Amino acid sequence: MLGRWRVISLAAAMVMLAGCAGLPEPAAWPRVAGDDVDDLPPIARLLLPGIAAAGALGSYAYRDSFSDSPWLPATTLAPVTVPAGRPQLTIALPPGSQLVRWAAAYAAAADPTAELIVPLANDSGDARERVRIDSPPSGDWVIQVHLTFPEAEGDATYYWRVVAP
Amino acid sequence: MRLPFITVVLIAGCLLALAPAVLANQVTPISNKDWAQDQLVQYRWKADGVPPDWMQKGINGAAADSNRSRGSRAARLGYQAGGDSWVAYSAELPTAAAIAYASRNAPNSFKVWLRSHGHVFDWGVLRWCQFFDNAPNGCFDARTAALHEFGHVQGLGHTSVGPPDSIMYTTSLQKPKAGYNQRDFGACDVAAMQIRYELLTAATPVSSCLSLATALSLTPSTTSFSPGASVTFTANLKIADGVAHARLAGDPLSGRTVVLQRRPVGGSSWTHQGQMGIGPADGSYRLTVSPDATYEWRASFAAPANEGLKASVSALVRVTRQSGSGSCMTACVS
Repeated sequence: MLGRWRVISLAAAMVMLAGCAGLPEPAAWPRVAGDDVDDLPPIARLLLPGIAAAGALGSYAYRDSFSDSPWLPATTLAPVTVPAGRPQLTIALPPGSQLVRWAAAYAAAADPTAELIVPLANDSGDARERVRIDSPPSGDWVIQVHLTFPEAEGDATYYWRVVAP
Repeated sequence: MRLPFITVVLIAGCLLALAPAVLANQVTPISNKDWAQDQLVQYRWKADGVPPDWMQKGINGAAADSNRSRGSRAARLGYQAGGDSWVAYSAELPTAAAIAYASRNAPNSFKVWLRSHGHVFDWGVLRWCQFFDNAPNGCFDARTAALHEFGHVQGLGHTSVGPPDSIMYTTSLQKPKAGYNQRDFGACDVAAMQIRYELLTAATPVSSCLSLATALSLTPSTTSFSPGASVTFTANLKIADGVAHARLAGDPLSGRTVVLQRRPVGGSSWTHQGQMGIGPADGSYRLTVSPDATYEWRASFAAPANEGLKASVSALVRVTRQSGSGSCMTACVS
């Protein structure tokens, strides 16, 4: 299980690095190892033009398995640089996965235990595959997104380090 | 324009203050597999992961906290050597980033792991507060972490609403953050358990994280009376049949404040007759009066400030004072 987690982390880092390299947005959904693991929640991606950065998985509750973690600090996350102008960020689940509620917040990358958490937005409603949130202001941030899945399947929290020029 | 971070925080705080109150039942329910109501679920220490004494005290304290604050007929938890469930203290957990982990197989058993003190993560070294005589900032409270895991055992997921409303916050909190050592389930945790397991008793407060309609009925012992005679009114208060949470629908509500009111027939203003006392069954209330005239009567339940219940009034009941002629000798319920 631990080995599998390392594989997932490595794959996530590779996807993020690919995104940071400014590659064009892939035509096919970029898969990571965790996509096919039954007892792990789906891996959410942060989508920007040319970027599909897999989120680092924090706490989750999924199909009667529950994992609990503190706020994941910036030092554990690969940075994703967003274009200037505060573009909207798309948080997307893999095809076939949906969410019914979400909440996003962020803290400064220099604040490893998130003493000051700033709520970005939250919403609930019909099941869907993705949500759009405003980019945080200029700076180096850790964004946390908590997604709730339909039909009592569970929830998961993802983290991205976002550098906004 | 680059805003100072504190400015962003202040603006966000103002926006939050203007936001609507927390919606009911924000705690994610997990699966449809439940324990039986009040099921006693006993855990042992895993043979190759027996917690040290200070951790055992925290875990057993958390079981007591769960039993005390569940506010519902959720499972009762307790230590028993040879129990079907187990709790482990281990350096190895199923996920690398977790300080604690749980899995459940209701209604049979559960497993809980708590990471060993001193474990090195990529974000730092895990420290449990109970390990220290004087716990330093940055430690995690083992008893609170265990209570959070027991919340998972009951079938609760996470919430983005933190303490005190929920102990199922999606981020494990370190000392000295508010709620890092909370000893009770929060109102929204209790709400989720009440939805799954019903109220502990008819008199148990309904979580303020819910907002349930109620229904009130009123029945007089007679619909006509002789001058000087008394009439006993019986009211029944329950959670409305049509609420979204099927398991709570129709459940009786005892120990609340229900008042009896009257008005002249066709009148517009109500007179307080008195608070109704305890009736013969769960959810029933009773008051005996000696009316001096024909009145319309109703029972009224005001929404309590500390519960997630909505107000309700009963249908009108007319009780007629008999006279020499023309009395209403049949039911005159409107």
